[in-house]
Amino acid sequence: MAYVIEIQDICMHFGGVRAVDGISAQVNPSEIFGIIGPNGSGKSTLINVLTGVYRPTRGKVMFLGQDITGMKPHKIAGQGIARTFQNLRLFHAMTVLENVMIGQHTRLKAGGWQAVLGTRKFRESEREARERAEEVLKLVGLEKMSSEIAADMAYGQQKRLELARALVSEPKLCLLDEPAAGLNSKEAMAMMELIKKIRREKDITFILIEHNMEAMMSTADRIMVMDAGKKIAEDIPEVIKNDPKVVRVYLGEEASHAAENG
Amino acid sequence: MTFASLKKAVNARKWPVLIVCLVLLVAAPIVIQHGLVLTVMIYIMLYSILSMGDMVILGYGGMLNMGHTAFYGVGAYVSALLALHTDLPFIACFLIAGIAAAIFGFLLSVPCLRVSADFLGLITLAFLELFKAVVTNWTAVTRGPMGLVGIPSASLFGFEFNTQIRFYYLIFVVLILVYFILSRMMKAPFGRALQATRDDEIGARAVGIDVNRQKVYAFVVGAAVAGLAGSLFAHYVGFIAPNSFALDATLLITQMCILGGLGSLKGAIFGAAFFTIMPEIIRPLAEYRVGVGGVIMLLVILIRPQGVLGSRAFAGKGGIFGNLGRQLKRRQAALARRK
Repeated sequence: MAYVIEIQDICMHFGGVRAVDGISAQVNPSEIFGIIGPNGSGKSTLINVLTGVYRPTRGKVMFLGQDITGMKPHKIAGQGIARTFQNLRLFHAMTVLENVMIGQHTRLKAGGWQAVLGTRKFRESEREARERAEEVLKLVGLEKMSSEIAADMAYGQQKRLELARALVSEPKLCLLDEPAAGLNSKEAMAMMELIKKIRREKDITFILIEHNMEAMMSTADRIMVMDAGKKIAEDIPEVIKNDPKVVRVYLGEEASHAAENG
Repeated sequence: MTFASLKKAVNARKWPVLIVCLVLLVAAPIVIQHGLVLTVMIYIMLYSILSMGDMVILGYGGMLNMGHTAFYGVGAYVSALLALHTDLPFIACFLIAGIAAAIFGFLLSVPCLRVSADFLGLITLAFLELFKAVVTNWTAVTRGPMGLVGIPSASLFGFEFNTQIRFYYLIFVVLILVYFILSRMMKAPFGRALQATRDDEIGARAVGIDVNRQKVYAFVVGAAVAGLAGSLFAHYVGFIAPNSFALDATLLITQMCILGGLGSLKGAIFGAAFFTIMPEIIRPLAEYRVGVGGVIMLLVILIRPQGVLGSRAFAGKGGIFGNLGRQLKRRQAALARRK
């Protein structure tokens, strides 16, 4: 089976700091692939390499069999990789609907002159874009807020808006950088349910970074554990949960002894 | 009646309001027939076109453009020189002026991609000074500080726009066209992508927007509009000199955009009208004109940071009244708790 994304020995060094140090992984179609690890273990850096924000020091990223290493971020987005950010990056002065319509930027092809002249093709394309945006807003439960300004919304709603903006481009791969960060446990579980629902309905592959272990264990199909830029484990959630290496990284030496003895 | 409800009332009756405004503006020169009033109205429209151009760069693109009058000047000089030295009809001079300014907009945007905010302001300011130095010293072509004189009035198919009233209608039509084209552009994917770039560049890249391209386009469009305004100015006044395109004018245009509201083309027109009429009304205070303008800008920033017609998304914490309101609420809440 062909992988959606194949990470081959990625290294990302900043001077002497090895933020990501030789990570390899493969993600299957329609999988939710989780990445966990303590703060500073290189999860977000890895995501930034995959989306072209950083050019890796070494290694290759293959997306649907094509080498996308070192491509510019907007080109990678055009290939069908969408993402959300740990610290929201919404277009805060624009409305909710506009935010989601911008998410379709790579799909809208009607040119500038068609917009000025208001041709039928342009109006048609705008109407479709609006309908798709409204559909996705409904999916994430924000359909009633489409004319709100993004900056005015509550944090949890902004998180869902960013997810909607990523989904509306109908990406093949969607990278979610801590979608539940800052949410309470109820909201976090709702977010995870939403992600699973989207995977069922839309056939999108997800890479999910999350600190909330409970949320991660119930959502991901496979989990990769990172520590200090290296991969220390990769398996299904049940195995990861009981892996002494993982427990050590997360809870410290003593807890891992307790886990082994108890 | 609050401002917000007024705005809503106007929006609900968009077409009637628009038609009434258009009829009034078309009838104005015939009814008024007052030289000074007509001159002021013509300058309002000229500055409206200029401010709308800057609004694309500053308001929608979020780029501090201090070189706007240089684009205006390029348009004016190119159009004037073509009219004086060639047989090209006015319409050709006018369009070439726009294209020439657009080319300068493109050239200036390239170094601007590498910097942001204040540094962008400095680069564009340097460009303005460079432009002024060239037109002042290249006397063989521009006649330097003496300026270009005897620029023929605008004409179209043999019809000369050589009176105030005739020119009024010419610039009125250009204003409507520019407004129409720009407002469509800003609502289209290009305008949305430009605003997205302004709001968050990293977010914009992540949804597939080529951020640099939007910035270049913004400069090209804004500069082209300024160039067209420059051409109109040259053929209206008949005389241009380097002083016409000084930093003062750039600052005035920036003031117009901020007062009117960043991210609003109507705001640009409002700002242009306000700052053109204001000095006429306070003539007795002519010497303090700049000071009064400064005080007004301070008040705007304190009371209504987003400008008169700007989106409330730019209000930040809502100025002093927003702060006072929050303090009042807090105090009331504290009082309520004590009881």
